[in-house]
Amino acid sequence: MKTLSMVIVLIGLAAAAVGGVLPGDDAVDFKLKDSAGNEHWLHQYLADGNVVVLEWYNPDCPFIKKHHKNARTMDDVFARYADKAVVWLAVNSAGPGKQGYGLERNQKAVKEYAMTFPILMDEGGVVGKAYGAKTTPHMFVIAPDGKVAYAGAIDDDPSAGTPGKINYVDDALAAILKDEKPATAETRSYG
Amino acid sequence: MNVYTRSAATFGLAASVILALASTTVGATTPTSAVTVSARVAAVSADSVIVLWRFDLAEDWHVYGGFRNDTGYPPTIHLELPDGWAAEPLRWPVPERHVTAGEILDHVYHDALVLSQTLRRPGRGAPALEIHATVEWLECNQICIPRDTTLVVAVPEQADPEAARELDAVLAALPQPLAAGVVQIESTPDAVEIFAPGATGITAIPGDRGPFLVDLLADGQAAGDRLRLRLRPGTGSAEPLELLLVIDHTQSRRTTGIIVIQ
Repeated sequence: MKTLSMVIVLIGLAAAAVGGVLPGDDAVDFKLKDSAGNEHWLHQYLADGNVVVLEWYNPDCPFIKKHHKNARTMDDVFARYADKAVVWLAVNSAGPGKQGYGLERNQKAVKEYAMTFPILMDEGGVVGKAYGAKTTPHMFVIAPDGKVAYAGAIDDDPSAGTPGKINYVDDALAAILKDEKPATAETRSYG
Repeated sequence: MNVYTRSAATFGLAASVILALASTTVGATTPTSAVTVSARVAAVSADSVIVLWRFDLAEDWHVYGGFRNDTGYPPTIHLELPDGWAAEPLRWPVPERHVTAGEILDHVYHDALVLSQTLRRPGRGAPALEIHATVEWLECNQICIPRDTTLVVAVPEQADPEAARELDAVLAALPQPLAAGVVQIESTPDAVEIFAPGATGITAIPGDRGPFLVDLLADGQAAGDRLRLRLRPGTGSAEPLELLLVIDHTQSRRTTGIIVIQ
């Protein structure tokens, strides 16, 4: 029997069964390893009182490059909450043989983009499908109570070149940390 | 990008500047692009001109339509117009429904896309020597690449006959507001139901604004004469839902039209 650490734990399958989670839904639990081999368990992060940001990620996607290379959107927002109980996890659900797939490419991307948070490897796409992630980036913010508080785009500019003026994840984090609900709980992701 | 199967290659926003010396002269993108973009003035009147923006695509590549898509973005055209000129919205032909792994639904064009656009000019016969445009698009096959190019389109005294003929064909293929009685609509906070008597199939292609939908992939196409589009009440913008309907009848007869549901 495989140990728990070797399998992805999926809970909340009612939401996953209809193709994803929406604000107000229970987050789908998972346990994944990052590109350095470290294990990350959503349940534990939430049990420790953290707000968890999930960012669907592909290092070769132009929209990921927009926010990780041309601008530092993700790391800058994460840095603003460095002294708060906030965990930011990139998740790569690319399939075998596709660009952006594989440990080596993602290990390189961590350095190339000077990332300040890990890239979790979801090579079977199971977690991506459970969340209904469709684009890279596709953002989910999960409150410590395990509910999805925000789902959608990182910001309000869907172009491949210019970061937006409104950062929805930043706004959601600020609200959750004040025990408030995000003013915008859902947008259409782009990527 | 599609989370599961498609990702993008280089992010180089390749730009090229093409000066159109004659009214029908066109531009081209960098040699590596799968899409060639061109523009020409196809109609000239005292108070307006109509420009055709043409995207010629290499085999198996696609660009996105200005409709509800899970991924990608449609071409955009940023105009630098002479003082007093105003641009009307781009007019989009009927796109293809494009489904890829991960239940990703997009509305796209293969082979070629021609967008028409009316530009209003102030006063009668206000001159304009040229129109400057920056065109941006995302071209996709197994990978997606953002591109842009700059075009300069000269405005002639008269459109050439060939361009005028192309315009006739482009306008004839555009979906128009659907005539009364072609479909019956029932709208509730939870769903929009469309009944098209005699139809053998209905496809609904929403605009990129308006309420969130429960499952456009499942709901957006139906065999027979009825289609039910589930809405998620209380979500999305307060803007109305605009739908491009493609209604198939027997003997390959097809009706397309636009409806707006408040």
